Amino acid sequence: MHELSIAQSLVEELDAITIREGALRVNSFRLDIGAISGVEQHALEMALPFAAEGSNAEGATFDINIVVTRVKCKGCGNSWEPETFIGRCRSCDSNDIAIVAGREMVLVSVELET
Amino acid sequence: MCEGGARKEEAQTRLVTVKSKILGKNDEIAECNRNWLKERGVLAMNLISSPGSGKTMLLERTLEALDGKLKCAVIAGDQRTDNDAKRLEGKGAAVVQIETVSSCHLDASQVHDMLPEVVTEGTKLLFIENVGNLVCPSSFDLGESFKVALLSTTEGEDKPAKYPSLFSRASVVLLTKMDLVEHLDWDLDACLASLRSIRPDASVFQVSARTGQGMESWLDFLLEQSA
Ligand SMILES: Nc1nc2c(ncn2[C@@H]2O[C@H](COP(=O)(O)OP(=O)(O)OP(=O)(O)O)[C@@H](O)[C@H]2O)c(=O)[nH]1
Ligand SMILES: [Mg+2]
Ligand SMILES: [Zn+2]
Repeated sequence: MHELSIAQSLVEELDAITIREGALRVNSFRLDIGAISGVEQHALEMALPFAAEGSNAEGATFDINIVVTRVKCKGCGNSWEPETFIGRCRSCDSNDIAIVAGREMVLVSVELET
Repeated sequence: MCEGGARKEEAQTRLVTVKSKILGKNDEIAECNRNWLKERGVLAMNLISSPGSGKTMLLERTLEALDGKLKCAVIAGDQRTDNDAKRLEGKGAAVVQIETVSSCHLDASQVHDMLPEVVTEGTKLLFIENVGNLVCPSSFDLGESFKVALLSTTEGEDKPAKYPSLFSRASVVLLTKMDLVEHLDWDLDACLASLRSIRPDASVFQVSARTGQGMESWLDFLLEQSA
């Protein structure tokens, strides 16, 4: 259950933003979570309200946007969205493939009550 | 969320765009660890696997083989007990245990606090044995040079495809407990295919810490990497 540590880090960040912006509390926030980030959406949804208790983000609503995996061949620049398998490049057969999206764990935006 | 009809009272809201990494603080400390290790010429490996895949036994054999040849250090992470650290002591390497208690992974700050104690002058290799878990540790950068995933033959062939968050990040994979293959219906080609589908460029070693099979290439790799 590392979703709880992730939720705790997030709540710390939300607290810090509320203070920095001189706001009263967090109304809502948006997250980008990559499909292969290792974070399970449901577990994070469960952990967040729990981690937010007693913080400036208590009771805040949130949207989680799942970012699909995208890879790019370093050889020929070909880019595609693999289902589960990354594998080799379909156009030049290179195995030098970079993951360009899918690992995100990003706090995108916060709606603050001021 | 149910808004309950009536508009909220005149509360003023403001939207702030942040775009900050959720584990940004961990990543910063990891980067600090990475620089600290680099300055000292230490190669650091973050060993990740399911519980019981053979991380500690691999390290026992590895430390014994490198004793007197290459100065090693170990940070062992477990939720409870210092059993693993005890198994690794007396083999010429500095060993510390981190008990993570309720946490299923090591984080960069735990490693940061241990580094000065365990990585002493002349250390060439640092092995960080993460908490046994295939998912959680993969999200937390510790400042290692690279991740090493262990996959034991008793776990089945398709773990890489099932756990891409780890296997896509591990540039080195050890297939462990190779001595057991004769008792299993485990298929090497299927396992390698699963791995290649997730991480085509991974360096793969087939080892048995029990019989010593394949340990030579693993040790040669370590000597070469630390040079
Ligand atoms: N047959 C066989 N057994 C092994 C081998 N390596 C480890 N084992 C056994 O597998 C069990 C677990 O090994 P450990 O080295 O403790 O595994 P670990 O990954 O450190 O376990 P945790 O730290 O609890 O996650 C022990 O009973 C070992 O004796 C091997 O190469 N062959
Ligand atoms: Mg162990
Ligand atoms: Zn290509």
